[in-house]
Amino acid sequence: MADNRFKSEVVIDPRRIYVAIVVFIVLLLSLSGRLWYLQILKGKDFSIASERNRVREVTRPAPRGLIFDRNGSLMLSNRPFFDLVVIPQYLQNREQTLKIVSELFSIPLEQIEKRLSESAGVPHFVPVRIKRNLTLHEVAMMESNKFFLPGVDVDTAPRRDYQRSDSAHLFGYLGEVTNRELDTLNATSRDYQYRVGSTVGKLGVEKKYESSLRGLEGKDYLQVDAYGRLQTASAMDFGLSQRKTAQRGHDMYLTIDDDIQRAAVEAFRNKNGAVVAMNAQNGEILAYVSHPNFSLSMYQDGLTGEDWQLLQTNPFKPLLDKVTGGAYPPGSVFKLITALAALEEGVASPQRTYSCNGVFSLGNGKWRCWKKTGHGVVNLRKSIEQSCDVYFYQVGNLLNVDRIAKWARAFGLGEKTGLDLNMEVTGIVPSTEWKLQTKGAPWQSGDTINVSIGQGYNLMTPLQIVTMMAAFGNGGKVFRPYLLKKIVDQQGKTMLEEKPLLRKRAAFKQENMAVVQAGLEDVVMSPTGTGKKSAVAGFRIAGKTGTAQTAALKRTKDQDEVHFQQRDHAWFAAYAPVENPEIAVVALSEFDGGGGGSQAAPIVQQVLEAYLRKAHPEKFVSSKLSQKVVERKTPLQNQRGAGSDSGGAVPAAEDGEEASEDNDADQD
Amino acid sequence: MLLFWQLLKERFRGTPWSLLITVYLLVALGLFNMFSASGADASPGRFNDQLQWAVIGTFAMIFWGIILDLRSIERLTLLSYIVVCALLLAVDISGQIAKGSQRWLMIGPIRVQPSELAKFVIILIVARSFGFVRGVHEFTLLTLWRQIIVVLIPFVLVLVQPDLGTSGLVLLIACFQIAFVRINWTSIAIVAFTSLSASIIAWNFVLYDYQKLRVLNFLNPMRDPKGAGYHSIQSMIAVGSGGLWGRGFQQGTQSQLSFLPERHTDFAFSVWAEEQGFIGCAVVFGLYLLMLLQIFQIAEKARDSFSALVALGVAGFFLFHFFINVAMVLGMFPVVGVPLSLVSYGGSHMLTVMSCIGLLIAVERRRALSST
Repeated sequence: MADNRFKSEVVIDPRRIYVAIVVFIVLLLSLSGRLWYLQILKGKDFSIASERNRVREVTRPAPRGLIFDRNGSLMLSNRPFFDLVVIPQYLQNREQTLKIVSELFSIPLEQIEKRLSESAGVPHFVPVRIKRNLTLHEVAMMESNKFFLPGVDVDTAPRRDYQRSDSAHLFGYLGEVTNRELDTLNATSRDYQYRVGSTVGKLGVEKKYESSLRGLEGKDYLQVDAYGRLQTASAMDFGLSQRKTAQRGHDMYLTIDDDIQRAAVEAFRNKNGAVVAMNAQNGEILAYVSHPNFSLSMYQDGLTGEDWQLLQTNPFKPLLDKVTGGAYPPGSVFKLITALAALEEGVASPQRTYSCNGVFSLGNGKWRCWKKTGHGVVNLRKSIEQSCDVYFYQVGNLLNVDRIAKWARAFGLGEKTGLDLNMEVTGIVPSTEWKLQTKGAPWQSGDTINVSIGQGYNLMTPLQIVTMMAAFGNGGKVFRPYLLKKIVDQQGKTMLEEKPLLRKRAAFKQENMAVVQAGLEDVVMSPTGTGKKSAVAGFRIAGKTGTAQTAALKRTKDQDEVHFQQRDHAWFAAYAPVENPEIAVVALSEFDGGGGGSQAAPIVQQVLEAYLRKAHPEKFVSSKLSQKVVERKTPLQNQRGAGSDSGGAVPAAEDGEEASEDNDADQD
Repeated sequence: MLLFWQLLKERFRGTPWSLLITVYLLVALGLFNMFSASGADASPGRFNDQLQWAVIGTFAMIFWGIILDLRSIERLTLLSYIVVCALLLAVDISGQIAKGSQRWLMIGPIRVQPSELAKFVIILIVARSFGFVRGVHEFTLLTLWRQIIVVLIPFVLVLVQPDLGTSGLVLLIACFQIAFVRINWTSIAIVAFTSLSASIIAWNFVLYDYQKLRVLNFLNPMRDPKGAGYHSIQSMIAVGSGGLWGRGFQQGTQSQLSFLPERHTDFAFSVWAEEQGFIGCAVVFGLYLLMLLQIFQIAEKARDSFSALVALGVAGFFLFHFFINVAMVLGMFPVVGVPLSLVSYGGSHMLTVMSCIGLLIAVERRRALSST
């Protein structure tokens, strides 16, 4: 009762307190529901979101796979390179520090600032690369000043160790992936993700076997705070231990024999063009040289605009791989196709002779033999040995172009060899149909005359020529050339192996081929042969010279006087040993000015000798003791006209074979 | 000596000890959380500060609850109201001079946040304004003119600071108190109708699009995850990743690595939820439920209007802070600067909260005194 009396004095309605309590509990339950939803139902999702906040994945570059030659001798490896980096998180007294760095390493301050501003979006602990590939001196300088330069450091990364400066086209250079490459590369690779700035092979085997060589990037998981600063994970190591170390790419064994490769590089020094050596029985490439070379390390260090300009404007096109990408008129090397075609198609026989008086006439046209005075009466074998143009004009005329083309194709000319390296081109095997389609003009009988000696519309790559030459030696087997012996992972397991592939087999009568082969052997072995400078004592070698005209020149003009881009290409292609060919070699010296016999044959000789010494050392031991005279002759002078023993007779007489300028003029 | 002891015992008679246990459990929990949240900072400065403020708050509580009695508090109400309003005005003026929002005022060496004191003083002034009333009464808008004026003055003064959160709380606490008084239904209908139609008119005819956008972003932070919504999202991530048992003391990455903004103050509960999980949150909810029930009980038992309204004001104070803060932390409410009482860092707020507890002690002591 007393209570009610008091209550009546109170202005509030006590029942509302119970309403308030009920409302309070309802609201509390709704908050609990929300809490349940966030923590229990969606807890997993939010945990992932939380991890994503604090864990940053950092990739560590993988060393690329090593490259060995066929015998396991190291051709290309890696070493650590040092980069100058700035880590914004640790940078103190930014302005002054950057100024000192700028002066110490002679980098413009604006360039450093630009670099830093470019990476403004990335977390502060990520080092920003200021200068690549420091010299050891610069590294030492950095180390000794480290104390005064907080936030500046030296970062190491494994990169290619380009100790040798040759064979740039074979190995290929590396570069940052372009946006266009990014899409295609990522579409084809499952376990590897390319990003902007990733390194990728751009040429040669580095490009072709990119997926095997690249390795697996390492991954580090670092903890950062909301400002992107790296946190030590000591007190709070929540299982950041999923890190993966970088794995080196698979190692690669090439079919290249480094001894032969080095010999080819050495022999081809100061020349432009290509040298290829191939196993004549299976297509393994033993040496692969394209000149002019370019510097691979220049690419790795970062090509300056100036360097790029130089590479682009160099008239000898250093970036072009001439082995697969250079299409040249084959010149007289092509005569072996014409010769075999003539025998097979019955327009010539081994006994049938033609008389060469130095000129061939057809209609109003006149075609000269390279030897003004003519070769007199020659049969097929002799015409090959002497590279008599008139003989081949005659049989070419009888053959017609389409039958020549048929035989050229039978030996793989006019199509890609299948090496699939560095933008291979098909070249041109001309035919009536081809001319109609591309030039819109009917074939002229005069065209055939040019084609029969490898001029005119003919274009072949050195790789096609070497495959053809091997097929002439091995009985018509046209192999696909290849470079890869095997790819081996880090456990030594073979991941990929290339096997010989017989692309096609030319069908001909054995006796016809024998005649051509005899002629090819005479080229090298006969004292009057045009290619005798490729001889290696103790071995039977067969080959063919070629001196391909690049422009219509007055016969009187000296090659030294004309513009270099109008000079002749010097060819020589050979196989050895004749009785059972093991190796085929081609050398093409473009815009050489000299003939194939004087300029290209000695190169082939050195490559052959390097190979034969290795393959048949016993023959060299005996030759050393008994045939001193011969031996003095073999390490050949490879400078033009400097020959001391074969001396005065050399340049003009041997192989001045040139299709005469008048012919072309008459045609047009 | 015995006499002194007797006097002291007399002084403390009626003290609601069970309420104080609940309060200090929450204080301890808040300090523990503060220590954890400061873990990554290496310097436990905030923990020490908060501990200091808890002690100072305890003195404030003793001052209001034990040293003064409710009668003197009732007498002091108008004076303290005027003082607080003057301080609020001073803040507004100094804010005008500094050309920016201003919430602090330096009084000697200490920074005071008068808007916090406003929440305290509004409880007293509203209770006081009904103090004259005896018996059953039905109020209308006209008879409530006193209350409307005393509430509007501090409300406007805080609003122009600008501090939307606190001014809203001032209004809410006052309304909560008045809601327990019998009010004529027509008056309620008038207020409801005018405020509703005013907001509809404002939305359709007054506000520009960008202002509407701002309102929408305020009401639903998820509309703008990088701007206004960032805090909400980070807080939800922190809470959600806590799971059932939490990530453990000083193990919350969201808070320790500063992804969580304001982890000591407005988002302190977020830290707790991340590190102590659903179970830990249930403990906080339980303590708050217990505390509110105890306060409502005090209000229910009160024998005069002033006592009852003071207790209800304090209940409203805790209730609104709790709901707004927790709803904000859970991403159900826009981010406004409302701390979780007893748990969040903040000296002025701790002082205010403990003073409110002091008021409850005073209320209980008066009842104990009058029942004998």
